Formats: sequence, C-alpha cells, structure tokens
Amino acid sequence: MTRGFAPEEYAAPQSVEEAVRLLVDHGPGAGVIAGGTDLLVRRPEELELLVDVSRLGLDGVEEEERGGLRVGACVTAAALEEDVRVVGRGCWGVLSEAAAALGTPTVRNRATLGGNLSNGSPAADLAVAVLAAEGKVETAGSGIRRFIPIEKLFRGPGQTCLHPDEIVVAVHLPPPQVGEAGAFLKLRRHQTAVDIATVSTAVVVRMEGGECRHARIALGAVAGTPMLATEAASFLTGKELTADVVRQAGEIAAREARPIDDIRASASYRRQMVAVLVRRALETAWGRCRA
Amino acid sequence: MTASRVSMVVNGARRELLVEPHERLVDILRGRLGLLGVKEGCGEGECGTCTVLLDGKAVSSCLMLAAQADGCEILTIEGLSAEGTLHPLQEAFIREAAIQCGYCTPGMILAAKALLDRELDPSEGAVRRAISGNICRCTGYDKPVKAILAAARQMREDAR
Amino acid sequence: MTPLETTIAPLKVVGTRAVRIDAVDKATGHARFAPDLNLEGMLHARILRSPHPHARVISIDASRAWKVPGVRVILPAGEVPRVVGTWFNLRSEKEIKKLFMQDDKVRFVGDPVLAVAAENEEAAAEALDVINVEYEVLPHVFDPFEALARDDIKIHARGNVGFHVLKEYGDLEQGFAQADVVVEHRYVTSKQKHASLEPCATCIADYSSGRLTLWSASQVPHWVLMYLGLTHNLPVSRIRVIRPYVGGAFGSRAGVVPGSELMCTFLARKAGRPVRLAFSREEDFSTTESRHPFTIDMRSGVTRDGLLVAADAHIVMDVGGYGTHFVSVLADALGTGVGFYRVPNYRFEGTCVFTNKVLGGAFRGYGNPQFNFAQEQQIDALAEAIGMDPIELRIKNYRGAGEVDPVFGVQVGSDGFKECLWRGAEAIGWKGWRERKPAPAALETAGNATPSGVSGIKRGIGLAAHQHGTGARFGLPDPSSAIVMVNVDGSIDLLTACADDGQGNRTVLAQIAAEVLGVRLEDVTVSDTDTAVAPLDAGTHGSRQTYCGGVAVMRAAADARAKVLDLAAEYLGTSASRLTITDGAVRDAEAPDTSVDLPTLMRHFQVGDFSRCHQVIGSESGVTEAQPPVFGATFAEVEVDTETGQVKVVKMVGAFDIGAAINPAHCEGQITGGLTMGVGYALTEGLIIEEGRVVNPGFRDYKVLRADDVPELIPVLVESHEPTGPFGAKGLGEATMISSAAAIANAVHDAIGVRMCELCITPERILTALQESQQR
Repeated sequence: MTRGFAPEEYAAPQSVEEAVRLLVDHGPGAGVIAGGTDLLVRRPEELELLVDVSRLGLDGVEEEERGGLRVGACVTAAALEEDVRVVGRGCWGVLSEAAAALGTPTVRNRATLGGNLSNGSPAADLAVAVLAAEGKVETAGSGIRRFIPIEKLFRGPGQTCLHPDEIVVAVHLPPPQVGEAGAFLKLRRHQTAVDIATVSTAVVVRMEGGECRHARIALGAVAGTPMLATEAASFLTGKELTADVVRQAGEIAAREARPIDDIRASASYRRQMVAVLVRRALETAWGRCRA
Repeated sequence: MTASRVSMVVNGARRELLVEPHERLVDILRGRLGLLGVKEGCGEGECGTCTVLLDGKAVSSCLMLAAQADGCEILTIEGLSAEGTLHPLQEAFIREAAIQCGYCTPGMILAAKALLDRELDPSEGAVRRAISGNICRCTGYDKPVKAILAAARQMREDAR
Repeated sequence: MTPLETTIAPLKVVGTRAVRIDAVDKATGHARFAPDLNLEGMLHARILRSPHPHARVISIDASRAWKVPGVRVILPAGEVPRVVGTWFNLRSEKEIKKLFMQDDKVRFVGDPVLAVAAENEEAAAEALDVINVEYEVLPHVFDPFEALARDDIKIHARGNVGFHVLKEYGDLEQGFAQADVVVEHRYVTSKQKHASLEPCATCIADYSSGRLTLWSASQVPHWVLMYLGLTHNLPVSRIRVIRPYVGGAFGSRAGVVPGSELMCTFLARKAGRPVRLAFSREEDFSTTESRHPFTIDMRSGVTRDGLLVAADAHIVMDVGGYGTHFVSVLADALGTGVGFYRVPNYRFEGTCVFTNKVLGGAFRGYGNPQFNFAQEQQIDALAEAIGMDPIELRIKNYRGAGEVDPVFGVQVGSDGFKECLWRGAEAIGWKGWRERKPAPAALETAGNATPSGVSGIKRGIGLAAHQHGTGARFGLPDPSSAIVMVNVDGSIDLLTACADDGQGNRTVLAQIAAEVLGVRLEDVTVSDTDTAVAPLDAGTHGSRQTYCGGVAVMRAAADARAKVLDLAAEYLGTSASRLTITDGAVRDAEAPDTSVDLPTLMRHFQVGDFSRCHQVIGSESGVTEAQPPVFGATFAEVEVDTETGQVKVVKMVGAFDIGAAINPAHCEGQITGGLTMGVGYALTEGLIIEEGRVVNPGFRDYKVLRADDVPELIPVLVESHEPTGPFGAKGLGEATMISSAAAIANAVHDAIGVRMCELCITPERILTALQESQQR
C-alpha cells in the first residue's frame, strides 16, 4: 500500500545543534528539507518528520582568513550565480557558472548548495563544480563535525556517505591561485536551456608560462556519481597546452567515464560528448588563464 | 499530525494559519485563501504556473511547504492590482496581445515583476531568462517578451 | 451570401488589433478555469488505471475500499461507455453504434479500470490503493508492424487493423517512367503531446432534478451534449454543457477525454451529488490522446524541367489502444497531401493499426504535419537533384486558384501561396543565402571535415510548404450558429457556443458582429460557451472558428441589421435601402440630418410603443459554402554543431495565407505559438514509451520550448481575401505548425548534407547520420 508523501511533523529549528538533535531523536523517518526543489518532486513516502534547515543561518558566503571561501549550505543557486566574490574568481568561478545552469529561475531561487550535494544526483550541476574546485564539505552530526573531501561524498546514484542524522553545513573552497581558471559546460537536449545535464563538465586548470601545473576535471551524468577524470587531469599536468594535448585529454576523460543509457541519451553518445565537452571546457579555461 | 502555526503577509494582509506538514504553499493559497489566480500545472516546479513572489523573489509555490513561508511576504497576481489599478505589466500584457489561453499569465507576470523590481532596463535576453521557468504553450513568448520590455519602458518613464 | 462586407466601409473594428475581451480577466487572475471551480457538496474522484498493456479484468474486489471513510461511489470502467469515434458517427443510427464501446478489457498501460468518488481526494486515493483487481494478462504488441503480422493478438474483436485506404490516381508505373529523378525514403514521426498548460483534464458533473450539468473544457460542447444524451438516455434539453475558461487545448479536447467526462457524469448520477474528476499532469501525458506516429515509405519522381509526375506513399499509422480521431486523421493526411501538388500519378495507401499503447487522437494539424514531414522533404530532395530552386519547383506544381483537388473535390478559391513563398523568402534572406552558399559537393566535404571547436558549426536554411483546409464542411457535420440580440440601450448580445481555447475567437466574433451592426466592440457582449444559452456549434477544431463561426455571426448580425434598418426606416419615414448604421446610429446616406441612434430606436420599439414591444433578434444556423485551403510556407534557419549533433534553430519565418486578418495581433500570436510548437515537434517533443509505459510523463523530460529556447520568430500575414469567408477571412490555427518540422529537416540537410527522416531529430540521430554519411 502506498501512503504518499505524508510527513506527520514539521520542525524549523533555529540552530544546527537543534536540527541535529531533532534528527537523532526521531531516528529513521526523519529527513531534511531546505529549498524543497528536489524533495517535493520526489515526495518520499517514508518521511515522518521534516527538519527544515533553512533557518539555521547557513546562507552566508565568507572569504576565510587563509584566502579560502566558505559557502553556507543554504546559499541558493541564484545567490551563487550572482555573487561577485565568486564569479570568475579562479577555481570558484565554476560554482557560479554551474549555478546559472541549474534549473529554472524559480528553482534557482530556492535550490541550495547543500541540497544539490546531499541528494547525490550524478547530474547535479553544483556537485560537479565543487568537485572540480576541490571543495570540502563541512557537516554536523551527532557529536561530530566532519570535513569531507568532495570526492569522498558520493557513493552512488542518490547515495552519499552522510549519516541519516548528519547535515551539510558548508562547503569550503581552497584559495584561488595565480594563473588559475575554470570553466563549466553543460550539454542539454538540443534547443533547451532548462534541462538536467546529458553530460556536464567542470574543469579547473592552473597555468604557469604555457605549462599546465595543475588540472582537475569533473564530469557529471556519466557515472553513478559525479566523478573526477583523474587520468585526463594527470595527463595534462606538466604539459604545454596545445590543441592536440587538450583534445587528447578529452579522449582520455571519455575513456574514464562510465555512462549508462537513459531517457536523455545513450551511453555511447555520452562518452563521445565527454571528449567534446572536456576539450571545449579546457580550451575555455585555458583562454581565461591567459586573459 | 502536528499542525504548524504560520504567519505570513499575503498581498499586503497578515494571515495566521494552521498548516499541516505535507501542505504546500500552493495548496494553502488556492485552497484556503481562495487565491485561484495561482495555478497548478505540473506540481514539480517545471511549468511555472504556480509562481508567486516570496519576499520579492519568484518561486514555485508547488515546491515549497506552506510551513516554510512562516514570516514571509507573499504576492500573488491578485495582489498586483489590489487597489483596482492595473500594474504596468498587466496593462502591457493586455495591450500587446501577450495573453492567449491565460493559464501561464499570472505566473509569468509575477516572474517578470521580480525581474523589473531589480532591473528596470533589462535586455531582451534577460527578460527571456527571467521567464524561462514559465512555460507558455500558446504564444511562442514573442508577445509576452515584448510586453515585458514595454512595461519596463513605461515604468522607467513613470519613475522619471 | 451577399457580399455585405463590401457595403461596410471603411472598416472600424474588423482588421484592428482590438484587445481581447477576456484579457483583463486573465491578466488579473480572475479568469476561472475548470480546476478553479468548486461546487457545494462536491465529491472528488480518482481513476484506477491498468498496469498492464493488454488484459481482461476478471474481477474487482473493492470490499476494503468501501471501508475507507468518505468513499461514496465505486464505478467499474466496464459499466461506462467509451467513445471510439467522432461526431461523424452521430449521422445515423448505424453509425452511432460505432461511436461507443463497452467491455472488460484494458488496452494500454493507464487505461481506466474503475473510478472512485469520495468526500476528498485523499480518501479516493486511499481507496484506489486497497482495491484488488484480478486481470487475465493478454499478450501485447507495441509495434504497429508487429501488430499487423500477429494474428494471435487481437486488440479489438475486428483485429488490429482499424482502417485501410488505397487511393490511386493516374498510372503510377507510367508516371515513374516519365521521371528523370526518383527519390525514396522512409520517414518516421513522433508521438507529440499537446501539453496545454492547464492539464488535460478536469471536469465537474452534477445530476439533480433529472438534469445533467457538465463543466468541461471540451472543444466541442455540443457534440459532448449529444454523446451524453445517447449514453445517459436523456433528452439533450435536460443536459447542459458549460465551458469555463480553458488553458489551451490544441486538439486534446476534440471530443471527450478518455476516462474523463463520461466517467464523471456516470459517477455524478450514481452519487446524486456533484463530482469533480481531475487528472494529474502525469495522467494527462500518459493516458490522454496525442499525435499519431506515422511511418511513411515514400517514392517521388520529377522530370528534369521540374514537373512532379509520380508519387507513391505507404503509411502505417500507430493508433494506440483505441481509435477516436483516426480515420479522419488519415483522411486529412490524404486530402492535404495529395491535394496540395498536381501529381497526375499518385498512389496513397494508409493503414491504421491498433497497438497496446496510449491512444492517438486529434492534434493541431490532424495528420497533415506527419505526412508533410515526408512529402516536403521529398520535394526538397527532388529540387536539389534537378538543381532547381525549391520555391520554383513548388510554384510550378501546386494546385492554385480554380483547381480542384482529386480527393474531396474541393475547389481552391483564394490563393496566396506564391505570396507566402515570396514574402517568406524575403524575410529569411533566401536569395542571398542561396547565392552565397557553397555548392552541394563542397557541403559534403564540409560535413566530412574533422570539426574543431566552434568551427564545427554549420548553418543552413530550409523551406517547407503546405495547404490545410478550414473547417470540415465536406467531411463532417460542421454547423455554426449565432444569435444576435439588440438590447434596449443599443448594446448587443452575441450568443455563440464557439469554444475559445485562447486563440481569441470570442473576441474575433465580437469584432465581426460589431462591424456589421455599426457599433463599438465594447457594445457587444459575448455569451458564455454554454449549451443552455448558445445554439448548435461544431466547436473548435479544423481551424474553423473565425471562418465558420465568423460566417454564422456575420449572417446573424446581417439579419439583425436588416431588421434594425427596417425599423429605422419606419421610424424615420424613409426607405431602408437608403439607410446604414455607423457609430451606433442609423443614418440616411443621402440626408445626413436624418438619423436615429440605436438606444432611441430600440427603446421606442421595445418599450416605447406598446403596440410593438419586441426585440430585434438576428439568427443563423448552418454551414459554410466552402472548406477553403490555407496556404503556408515555413522557413527555418539552423546551426548544426557537428561535434555534438545539436541543432539550434535560430530563425523561423511563417508566412500564411489567412484570407484576411480580422485581428492581426491574434494572427501573429497564433503564428509565433505554432512555429514554436513546430520547432518542438522537429527537435524535442515526443512521448517515449518503454514496455508500454510513458517514461517522460511531465515537463522535466518532455521538452517543450521555453522563452530562452525559441528562435527569432517572424510572422507574415498574407491576405488573399477568401470570397466565402467573413470579411475575406479563412483559418489559421493549425496551419502555423504544419510545415515546421520539414522546414527544419530541410535546413539541417542544407547545413550538413544529410537527410533526417526520423522525428525527433535528436543530437544522437544527427551524429549517427553524419557518421554514416562519412562512411559512404
């Protein structure tokens, strides 16, 4: 028998501690809601208690003392898209590009960074960007506070390493480096500006002279989780970027991808597109490094 | 089931309501407050017909719990011409023949208002992007976009 | 009809961009649509749907459902007739038998099995959860070709072939013998969904004191009235169909919606209380009608100097589990396709095949967009093969003014086709592009070249054309009626059951009435679309309302006008033939001082002179003289990313011969909307069905275009002046999307040299086609 989406209780705690306590006390059947743009589409039947984390003061963006950036879990996509501290700033810039590519304006006004990460969608735009930017996810749970490297967060489609009573509090991004730039590209079904990614990529490269010192290539919608194309990235490191090198990096990334067929595209198309998108994103990022 | 007490300002009037945890904002606005200009076209935030302004920002009222609107200010299409005079956007939509079946119109006008409240001289591209959450099956968006740009012009003139 | 319009000049209301009469209601949120209605004591109903594509319902155990608090009625679908025809079948006792069917089978996933009405939706939903249905699962078939081959699976008693037609004109063999070039392709079209913003469908029914009232968004209220009369065995005078505002239809409500109106009225009769039955968006997408997919094998021949000499088309049409509009959809493909070009040797064969999928039905264009996708690509390929401008080839071969189509014998009256082509070509920059663009051989090379970055983007321009009839004068019962009442204060009531889905036809009809009666638009009040108030009308389908409804209103208004003039002649002591009505007053054309305003005149004859006391009422009920074709040309400019296969349509021009624009703003809106829907048909829109289940039943994965997706849209209004139409008008609504897909496919071919014969034209299909062409 289906019971539909029928939570029995809603709570709007005022502090992270209170939120965690509510989750712990209730145990299974408790769930977190922030912007609601994913939860109220999925409408999970098992939820009994909804803990609203949007009133915990997690909607700030702060530059940290050592030059890093702390983005609160409840910062919305719309806020990230326009934040002047983020737009075009080295590895941070991919976040605002990804935020701008996420959903419709009404969704961007509500969808949060923390939600986009916690849902564990392989196609999550912000997750791919945070992956490329080498972010760390700060969480709070029962008696613990963790800093999880983003690549450790995802376990599979819709699955993360977060405990049921653990919430995302913030994302920490490393300081932008000299000569660093990124790019986010999202392939959608054609003639559509609003869509879940068929394939997405976020790349961050750091150039010194003509040489690539560091590269990170993240891919979306081509595996069970957002993923890093580590071989393609290490292939680039130490190389002078040429059209050919960039093309090869794309091809390596395509081999690393583990796509599946679904309603949006076939696995083989996705794999081909990884090569194209990674190459184009690297060309864009490389151009930005030079600019 | 535990109901939550919600206090919100809807179209300028304070409303105190008891809402259940599963109730969405759209359910309350339509079912309880009789604001039937708020439409529901998909229930998953894709179509934009349930768009309302929440503290000035366009949101899908189907993707928000009513309880989450506690302490917020909400504007629906009914509140836009509350004093009997039409908003410049409404006038422009009427004049420019930007309305056909009319089911998307309230949401689209509100999404446009959120844009114009922030930017009174938007580019055509910015207008299109601002209403990209509002599907229209009738017009091809041509006349709605022209109407929004015309309303912006009018509002700039009025502001002078 | 006497060309009354020629005596009315200059035009003051017709031809203006008058504001639509419902605009303020809609802009302020006061317009009430079916989902906004609420009747006191109303029950809420939900449908239990089949999880199987093909099964027999053996038994239903609802014992637990009856225990759910608030459950009032449980009604098996087998007790309610289904409509499996159209109003064509109303014409005789024999045909009526074919209109309805009733049995215990389900024929697609989502087919209604039973309905529950309860005090609230939650109770109805809960009841559905605890009903056990025992099915005998039957073997199913999803593919129409397989359905043709499988004798062991019979979806309907008569088998899987719903209809077959073979029409042969001339001598096919001889025709192809004359051809210098022959091209042959297989075309496959998609299952496009109407996707109106108001989900299809919500209705409310109430049966009390022996009277049945239905609030429905149907496009054809009077046919629904007759369906209800027959199925409920009630006099139609005891039935009332009321149409609230409707949030778009596009053919999805051209009749009753499967599982909606009939189910709801039967529930209401059982309940003795009003019942509301509303489908979710998912139910809309996965259980109501859509555009029939066609597979078209087509061979066409042309001589070197550009004469089309032969065409051979074989269509297999995927009807789905039930046929409603299907014979007529195929007939329309035949009429509009074979009728368009003067091809002396033509064979057209079509087979409508049942499959265990959600049914097809009426949809803007009605068979024409499917066949047009094939025929117009064939024309493009032939033009290329003989090195002739596709515009020239079309002009050389189309049936123009005075010619008669061989299928239905319709004679072409007004003909603005050449102007559509010329003005459309001008707007897209056709001539310049063809002069600049590289030769076809160079294009092939370009397609073969290894693309790099954005340099892999190729541009192309394409054209497709069509003709589409207005109304259904020669194929269906197609009445329109109007009553015009002149009130005591000179204001006008116009009673019409025209169904306005948003096109603006209530406004257009008011404009026509105002013009004929010499009053302002705001002096005319249009009735609700309510069968208890307004006389017989075939409703909205076939792009007919401006033309058919317009003719009826024009005649009714002319009737009223003549009566007004007679009264005025008596009042003024002059002859009616000297009189005219302008600006709300009757005037003597030759003696300007002799005049009387309408309020004075009407007051005198309605309430002033006790020996008279009557109202001027003009009326009309009947059909039009013709079914005039609307010509059209659609031009598309595209950019194809040869690395990703992504097509970006950057510009669309739609030039349509509408006869005359009663309201140019409305016409432009129809065109920009239709072109946008056409881009969707070409590129993104199609239900995806896996194992019988619609897997994209919502806007998330069924992609309709959004504001930042649409290309630049240029509407071109061509006015050829149709002699049988009101003020020269004919239809428009459907024409606007018919040739979009072929235009885009032709533009893609122009860009990358490959022909895309399957809808949707997805990026993957483009890449595959490119790779195949490189291997050749």
